Amino acid sequence: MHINWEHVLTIFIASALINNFVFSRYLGLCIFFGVTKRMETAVGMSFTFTAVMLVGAALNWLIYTYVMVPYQLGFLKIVIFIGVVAAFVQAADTMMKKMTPALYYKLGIYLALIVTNCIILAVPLINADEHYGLFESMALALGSGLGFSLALIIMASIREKLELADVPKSFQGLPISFVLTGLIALAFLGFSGMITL
Amino acid sequence: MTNTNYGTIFKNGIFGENPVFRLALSLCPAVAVTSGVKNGFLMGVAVLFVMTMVNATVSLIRNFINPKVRIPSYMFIIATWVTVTDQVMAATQRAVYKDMGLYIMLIVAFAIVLSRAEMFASRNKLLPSIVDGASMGLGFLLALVLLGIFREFLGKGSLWGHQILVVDGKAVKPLLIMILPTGGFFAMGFMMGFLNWIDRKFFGGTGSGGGAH
Amino acid sequence: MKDMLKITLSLVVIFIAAGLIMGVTYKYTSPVRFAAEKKEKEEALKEMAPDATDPIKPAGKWTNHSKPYEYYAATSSGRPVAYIASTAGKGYSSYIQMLVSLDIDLKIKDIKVLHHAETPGLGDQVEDRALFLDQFKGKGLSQLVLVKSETKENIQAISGATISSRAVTNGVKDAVQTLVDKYGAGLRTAAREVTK
Repeated sequence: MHINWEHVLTIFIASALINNFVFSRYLGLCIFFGVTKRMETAVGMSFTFTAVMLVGAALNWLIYTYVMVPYQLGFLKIVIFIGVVAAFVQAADTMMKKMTPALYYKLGIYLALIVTNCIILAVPLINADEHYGLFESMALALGSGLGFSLALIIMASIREKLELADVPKSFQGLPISFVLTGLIALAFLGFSGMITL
Repeated sequence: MTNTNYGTIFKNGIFGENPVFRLALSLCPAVAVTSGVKNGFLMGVAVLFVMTMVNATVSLIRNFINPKVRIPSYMFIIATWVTVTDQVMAATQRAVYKDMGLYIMLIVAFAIVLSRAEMFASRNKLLPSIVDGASMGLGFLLALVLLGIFREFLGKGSLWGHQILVVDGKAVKPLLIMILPTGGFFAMGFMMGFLNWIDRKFFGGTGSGGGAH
Repeated sequence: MKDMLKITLSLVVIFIAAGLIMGVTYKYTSPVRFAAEKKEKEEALKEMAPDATDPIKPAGKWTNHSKPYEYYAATSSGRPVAYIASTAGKGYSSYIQMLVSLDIDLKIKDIKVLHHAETPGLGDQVEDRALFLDQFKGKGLSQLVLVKSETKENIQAISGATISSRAVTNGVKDAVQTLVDKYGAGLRTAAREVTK
């Protein structure tokens, strides 16, 4: 199989910066606003997310390419992708609990949040729509994961400072976070045009 | 629940627990597809349909679903109705589907749909469940249309694709930023802040809607 | 054990019912979807060559930016009236997908932008017919040069959207070049036959 490494790299960078899931595709907002109150949770979530995303994308790519496409089951992709991710997360949860209780204690709570998250599901759906190969799918997953981690960490560091700021009462909490996200999105707009996908 | 008050359920879905502005659930599409009123409206209709059908289905077979596997069962029911919506949208709304097909498919990951199935439909009879699903969906639809009007008017000077602001035969676009991603977040933030302010000023609420989920 | 069986049974019943619902929907919506897709494409092509009476069929494939594109010969009762090619140009943040049609003198007849993701308010002005696209009409291959000043002979870039303007110009130029290569020779032969 011929692999176009240049394309793989392009997808990786584009998905991390230009089409950043939070700032230009608007996905994963629930978790984005939920876990960025503290830096520690943001970092924990970033690790878990990127790992699950990578494995989920690979598993779904295998199933999509070798089962769904040959048997023309493409219309079942929503059901199957969500099933695969849920099953994998459940398995990872059980295994982590048995094998590395220390790690489970740290990251286990995030696993439960992940199952029905839109980003985890969006990655295989985009891969299927764009007919990406295995390496391209992995690049998209890794890029999106790192891009999401970047977004979480930026936001968490700002929100820790925000605690000390004097925000109008009606804007406290979510509203001001939205406005902040808008400002970061504006900065990320500068990345567009860096690579043409 | 013998004396089901449909009015209360209805009001709850649209105002008291408006999925977008009050519960702050399922925010992704609220920001993503509201750069135009039409997209927001169709997304709202899709969610309205899915929520009504899911609540109806869950309520109908609530005694059949084993409590131990209820979440996977609900997920499966949701995924089914989302697939149906997705197929119908793809066949009938071609232009819109190109823009927001991905977000239609992602309705499956909406926390609001699952939480209504779990919290309401699994414990109530068919009719109240349908009303609950429909009013929650309607609340969502209203929020999306509101955001869509706000953003499309400011960003493009148009509503539902029709140019409204025209000066000397040229289209006026007052605030281009509103249809960019940034504008979506701004619109959402200001709208929430504004509603909180109204709530505090006129209804004596705490004005801290949106518990961040 | 009995519990286990019950759970499995209830899940299986739900799976089968859901599968049936999805299958039936797919069965009824997919033909509509494919028909709509086909009609959309046919209508876009028809718009490019309104005077063609015969159905427009692909005449061949060509490659641009390492992606496959098609070209078509539009005919009216067997006589060619226009040549159409799908093409794309590399813009600021996306590939601008277009259809280009040439009349039989190989001068540009019409251009249609099918899809792009350029910056709203700047790059997306290339879709504007009066502002940008109309100046392509009637131009030949050698005139397809983008300049930044006022021009009647060449193509004038939109200020603030030079990259997107260049993308459209280059994409169109590639398509015209392909069509000239394919049909230019035939045209010359035909002209020679007439002069004989």
